[in-house]
Amino acid sequence: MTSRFLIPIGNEVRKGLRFAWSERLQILIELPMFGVFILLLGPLLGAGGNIVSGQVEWTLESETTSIMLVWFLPFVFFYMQVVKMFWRLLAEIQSGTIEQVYLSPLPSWLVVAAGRVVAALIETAFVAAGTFVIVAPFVDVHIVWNTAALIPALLIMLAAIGVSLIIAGATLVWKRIQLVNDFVLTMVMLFSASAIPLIVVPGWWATVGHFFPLTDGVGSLYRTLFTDQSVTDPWGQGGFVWLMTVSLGYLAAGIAAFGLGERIAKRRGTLGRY
Amino acid sequence: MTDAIEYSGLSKTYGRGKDALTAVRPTTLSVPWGQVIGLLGPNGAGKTTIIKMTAGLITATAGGVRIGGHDIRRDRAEAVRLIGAVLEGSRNVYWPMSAWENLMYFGRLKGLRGAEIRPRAQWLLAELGLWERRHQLVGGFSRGMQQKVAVAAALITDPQILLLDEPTLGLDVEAARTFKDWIARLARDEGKTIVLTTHQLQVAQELSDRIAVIREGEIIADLPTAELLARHAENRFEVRLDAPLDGLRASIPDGATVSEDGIETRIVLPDADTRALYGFLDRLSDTGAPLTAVAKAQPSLEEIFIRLVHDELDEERTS
Ligand SMILES: Nc1ncnc2c1ncn2[C@@H]1O[C@H](COP(=O)(O)OP(=O)(O)OP(=O)(O)O)[C@@H](O)[C@H]1O
Ligand SMILES: [Mg+2]
Repeated sequence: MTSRFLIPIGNEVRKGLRFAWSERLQILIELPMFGVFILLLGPLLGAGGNIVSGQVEWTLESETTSIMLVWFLPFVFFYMQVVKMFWRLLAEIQSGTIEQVYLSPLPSWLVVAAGRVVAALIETAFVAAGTFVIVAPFVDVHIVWNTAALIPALLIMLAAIGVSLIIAGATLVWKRIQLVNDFVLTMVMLFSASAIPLIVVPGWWATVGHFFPLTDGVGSLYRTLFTDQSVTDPWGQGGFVWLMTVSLGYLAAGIAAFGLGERIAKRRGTLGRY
Repeated sequence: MTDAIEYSGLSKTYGRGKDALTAVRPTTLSVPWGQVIGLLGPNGAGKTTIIKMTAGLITATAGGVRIGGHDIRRDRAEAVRLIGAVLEGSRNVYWPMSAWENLMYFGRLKGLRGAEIRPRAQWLLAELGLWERRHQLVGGFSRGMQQKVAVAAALITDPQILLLDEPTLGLDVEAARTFKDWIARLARDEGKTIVLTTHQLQVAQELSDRIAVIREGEIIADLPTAELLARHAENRFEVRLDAPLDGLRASIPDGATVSEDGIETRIVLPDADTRALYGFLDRLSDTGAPLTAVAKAQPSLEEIFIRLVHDELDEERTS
């Protein structure tokens, strides 16, 4: 029974890696952008007043850059999971192979998500390493690892998988929705920024931010890695319960949305139609 | 024992209200294990819709499908384990992967272990003449070879039931024949249950134990192939001449149908009256017409098919 379950999941993971490998060039192209992004944005953050007065001092500060990474890497994972899963799914729809994949005994949401998540993790690790190599010569990155950070990291992953499934469900119905996709990505990025003490955001922004998938996860990561609060302290901005609720809520919503999209596509007979 | 496939009141209407299109009218039909059933019908008749509803890829508007007794909706996991499918169109397998990778992938997709898949993949690829090229990307294969990989992928788990939607589409004469022989062997030697759609009626006639003709979503004939042919067999005579009709027109009996292509002339006599035949042959003999054949007229499946589809249309118009 377990092997019946594990073999197809391992199979999707393998396929995900196979396709990630064939698209490796794309990540290599994206990588310098990620690095440059950190290098350029780092000095600007927390220096709002200076920018306004026209005197930006181009110094890279260790603390700021390190905190930025804690915000940036979850976002990279989010990007790898959500955006690349969308393109991968679209490719399966276009090529028609999705119908064959649907003949798997496993629930389709599991097949689709499993095919991406391990690849996304590896790609994120690669981007993390790459960004470090690019940034390290300019500034000292200093993060003290704390095992407790695995918990918010895991919850961030679950939320990202949830969002990727929502997008995937919509893709099954409406197909080319990359604009929506990019919009979601930008919003998630902007609102999760309220979780780190680099920019001062208006109160409403912070409030709305709590409902976005990454915000409290990033907040919790920050507290675990940069302050001496322990695992048992209330995490994130709304506390640990809120973080759990939002993350698992997104996962549940993702599974539901994917199921809904799938039912609509099967009813319309458009599963493999582009 | 339950049948391999059972359709009960299965129907499909796409869309709603004004745009609603009924692609499949309520169909109740069972396919016993080991039977090869050919679904024939003009474009848009609803064949692909039936195949995809069978595989659970399209949800029926009403009625249901059971695969080996498992309901395709409630018991999907069990049902799909019994199925292998080559769906309409050319892309059933991954083009950026090799033939070998594809077979391993589709085997594992259904929960088989690598060790279980390998010998079968080896056998299938050798059998289909793809062994030498197993590590090349499928995207670089010819259409026929890609189709072979699709068939191999559908067969990798050794499913008892095969759904083949226009499997010979786009294959050249030779590839189509190899393919056909191969399907025939699967049915004969391995007792596979096969649902086959095709526009190549010769293929359908040779492969199918049973033929269902579908038109505008409705099954208008469903008979064992031999019976379908027998039922439409005509007790009439056909005379072939190796010459144009020109001077012979006067000697043709009333009611005979004549077809000529400039080289050969075929005359089908109106009834099975042997006296009329002898009389006609006498007249031909007088004119010295080059006779090439005299035979019982035997319509091909193609002729029967066209007649079935059109008769229905005519009936509808007159009623
Ligand atoms: N997803 C869909 N949405 C709306 N109408 C559809 C859809 N799929 C098929 N149809 C319509 O349903 C009817 C049956 O289509 P289907 O593809 O089942 O026919 P078919 O017998 O397979 O035809 P062909 O021989 O051309 O492959 C057609 O009128 C077709 O236009
Ligand atoms: Mg079709």
